[in-house]
Amino acid sequence: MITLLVNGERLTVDADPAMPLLWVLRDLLNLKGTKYACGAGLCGSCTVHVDGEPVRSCIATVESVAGRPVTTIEGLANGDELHPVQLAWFETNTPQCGYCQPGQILSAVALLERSPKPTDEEIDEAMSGNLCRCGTYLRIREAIHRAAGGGGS
Amino acid sequence: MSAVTKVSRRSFLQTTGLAGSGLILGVRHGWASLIPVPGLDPESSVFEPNVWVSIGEDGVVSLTVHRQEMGQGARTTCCMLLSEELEVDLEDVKVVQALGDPKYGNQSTGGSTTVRLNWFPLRRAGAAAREMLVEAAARRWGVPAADCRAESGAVLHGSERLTYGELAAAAAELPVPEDPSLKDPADFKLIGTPQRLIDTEDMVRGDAVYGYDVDLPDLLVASVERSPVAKGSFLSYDADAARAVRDVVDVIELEPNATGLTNAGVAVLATNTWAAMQGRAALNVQWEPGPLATETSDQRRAELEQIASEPGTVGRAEGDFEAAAASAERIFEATYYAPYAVHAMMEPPAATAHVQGDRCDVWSATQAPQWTVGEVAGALGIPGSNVAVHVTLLGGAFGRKSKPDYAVEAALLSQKSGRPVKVLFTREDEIRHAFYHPESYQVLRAALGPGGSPTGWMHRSVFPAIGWTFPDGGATPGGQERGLGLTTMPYRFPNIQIEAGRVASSVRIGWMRSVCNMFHATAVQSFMDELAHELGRDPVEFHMAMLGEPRIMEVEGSDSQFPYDTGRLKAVGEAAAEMAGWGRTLPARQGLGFAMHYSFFSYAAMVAHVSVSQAGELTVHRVDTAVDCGPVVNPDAIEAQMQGAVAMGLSLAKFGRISLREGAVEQGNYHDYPVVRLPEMPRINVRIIQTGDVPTGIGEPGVPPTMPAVLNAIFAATGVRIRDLPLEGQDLS
Repeated sequence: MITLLVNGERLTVDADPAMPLLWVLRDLLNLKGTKYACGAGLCGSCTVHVDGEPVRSCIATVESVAGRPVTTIEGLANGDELHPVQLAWFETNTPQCGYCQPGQILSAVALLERSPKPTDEEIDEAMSGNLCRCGTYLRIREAIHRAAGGGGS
Repeated sequence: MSAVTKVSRRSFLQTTGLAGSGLILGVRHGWASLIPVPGLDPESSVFEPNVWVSIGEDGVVSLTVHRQEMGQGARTTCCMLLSEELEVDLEDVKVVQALGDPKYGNQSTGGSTTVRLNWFPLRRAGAAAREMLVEAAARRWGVPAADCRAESGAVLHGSERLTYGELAAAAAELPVPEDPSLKDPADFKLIGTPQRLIDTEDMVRGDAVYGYDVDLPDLLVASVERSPVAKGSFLSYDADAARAVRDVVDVIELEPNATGLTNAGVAVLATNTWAAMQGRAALNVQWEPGPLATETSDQRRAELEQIASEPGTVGRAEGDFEAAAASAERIFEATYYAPYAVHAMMEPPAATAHVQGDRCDVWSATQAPQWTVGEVAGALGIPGSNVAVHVTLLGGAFGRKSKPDYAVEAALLSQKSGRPVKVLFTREDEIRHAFYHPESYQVLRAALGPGGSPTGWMHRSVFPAIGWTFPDGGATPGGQERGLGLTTMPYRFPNIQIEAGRVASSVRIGWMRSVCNMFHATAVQSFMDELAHELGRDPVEFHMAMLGEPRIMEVEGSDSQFPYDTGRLKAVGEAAAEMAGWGRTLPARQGLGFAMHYSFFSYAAMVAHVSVSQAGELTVHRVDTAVDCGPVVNPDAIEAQMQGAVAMGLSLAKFGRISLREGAVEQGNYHDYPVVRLPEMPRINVRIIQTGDVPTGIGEPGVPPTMPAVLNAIFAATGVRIRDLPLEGQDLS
């Protein structure tokens, strides 16, 4: 049994220690907001936070995160109240298909925690690991500025 | 940061019958309860004038959406069309995703058809319901219906007001008007205004349900090792090794199906995805690759060139190109090549099936629910009426999810295992077992008379037709494929010869966002640019001069219902040039490139502004684009579609290459099939021009002009003319 701390809740799972966190979240804990898209740490769709840092859950084993705080997209909002970054995404109509957006949002949250007023260059740097095929990149950049209090760029 | 105002939650879970912890199969009794009337308990539904509108006595207005959401905003636009005429507020309606059923008409979401084909039907459906509700209120009050009006889910007369819920039972007794009157567009309140997609809040919360996310009690997850070469078969595999993996439940062989949609495979079924993948990795399948294992991309290219040197099937001939060529002062010729490409949408294909006796429920991220019904029924040997296809959100699709192969696999595996089964493609599966955008080789020739006057246009396009995907299909590209940007060439050349060449394909061919328009626009718009430079003319001036006086074109690919008007093409071209400041002086190694294209009955033009460093590194700074797709339903979605089209076109121009080695696809993930990332995204300015009174497509028309606009800009910046795609690996220094 492996003990996990997910979105503030202490949980135990019976899993192969080598199972990536992604599949533990999705298949064993029924937290399906974290998405699979490449399985190789190439696209960022599966991004979650571990100890507050963005981590690609498709290549992080469950064993490696045992006992460490994990935040998923489901852990951001406070009930009806969206997290400021989710709200910025909502207000800028950023999602198209929406599939990559949980990972994008978690990458953006981590960026804003370390750099509350990021420049375009910092955004480019921090978000370049998150792919979107719908082409929402421009609105993602706008949403990050909005969440930073800039009201969009 | 303030909290979001409470927006009505439209959890997709509720709309697909997967409420709460999942559809509780086996608890309810009887088949009827296994096919939920989407989102509705039939007994509480008292007013259902047509298949799209339903109003309960509780006042809940339910709108059924029969088109699929893959990011293009179809669910929202369908609701806007219904709500506008029904007179309900978008935030007050409950949205129900339709099952696959012919009663909705064409549900296949592709070809940029949702608004074009539903502009009248959905408005009529909303209007019919509104007229019945108004009539019910008028009778209640004993006043003429003409004195009543509908607004925000209620009927009003003077100070009196009755809600739709209060009128639902009475309205249900009235005849359904056959020809309800539609609003004057000048009175539209919703259509034409920017609207947020209805699933946005679920998406940012992580609550949106995609094909990958479906869950059922007792579910098994299947990962399928498929033949790396189409039509291959397995020689051996190690089922015991797979079964030895923790949580693996079963190993099941899949035969190729008769309709050509699925290839041979070995499925590993497990109680979780990771175990299924690990079991699959342990299979060690040995393949007999079969007769198609001979083709390698370099040989293919030589074959395409050879075919392009011979006459093809004529799609359009005007005047006599050969005679014009014979009497020309000179012939200007160029050839263009583009490799196979693949969709690489973020969510790989996924479907879940549950076969119980001679019935099957399918939950699929599909663009084509009715095709899924037919294919699943055929594979299982049961009637189509026994198959219920529930549609989830699609995490991108771009044409790939029109093919129901993954649903067929899930259905067969459920039938064989006796449990609900979810088939998940890995990224590598998605890239290697796709229905590919065809490779193409094109020859263009212009006959030039005295003084450089263009007298003839010859275009021969060689590419494998989509028919090669299907058992009876081996074919020359037909009128439908030729009409995607080949025969629709808009310029006034006195002599025109347009042909398509026949070439076989060892991989399956499919539709990808804008389909053949991509390579045809790349060739035609690059060639026009080359010709302008050859003749010493400004490219935009040359395009406009060659369009000449506006005219209605009647060629393969046009449709008199949505006339192909070169004046509209000219207007978007001039708008894009004006937006970009065409003709302005730029620093060294920077350039502007122009392209415009007609597709899906819409018109799009672009100017790309690029710079290329001395080292050959390309930066696309800005794209100015003008689009005319007729009357606009949701301008915010149009802007988003144009941004997405540029992202897709730029990805393909820079990186898009699927290559074959002995019949197998060489690429497998985003490291060897890259797509553009955020830092590579140019600024994009979109101008919407609204002409005419019928809307046309918007999901695809932005893609085709992107590539040639960028290539022409590279030429303007560097003098390097790129005729082969992709750019990656080519020297632009």
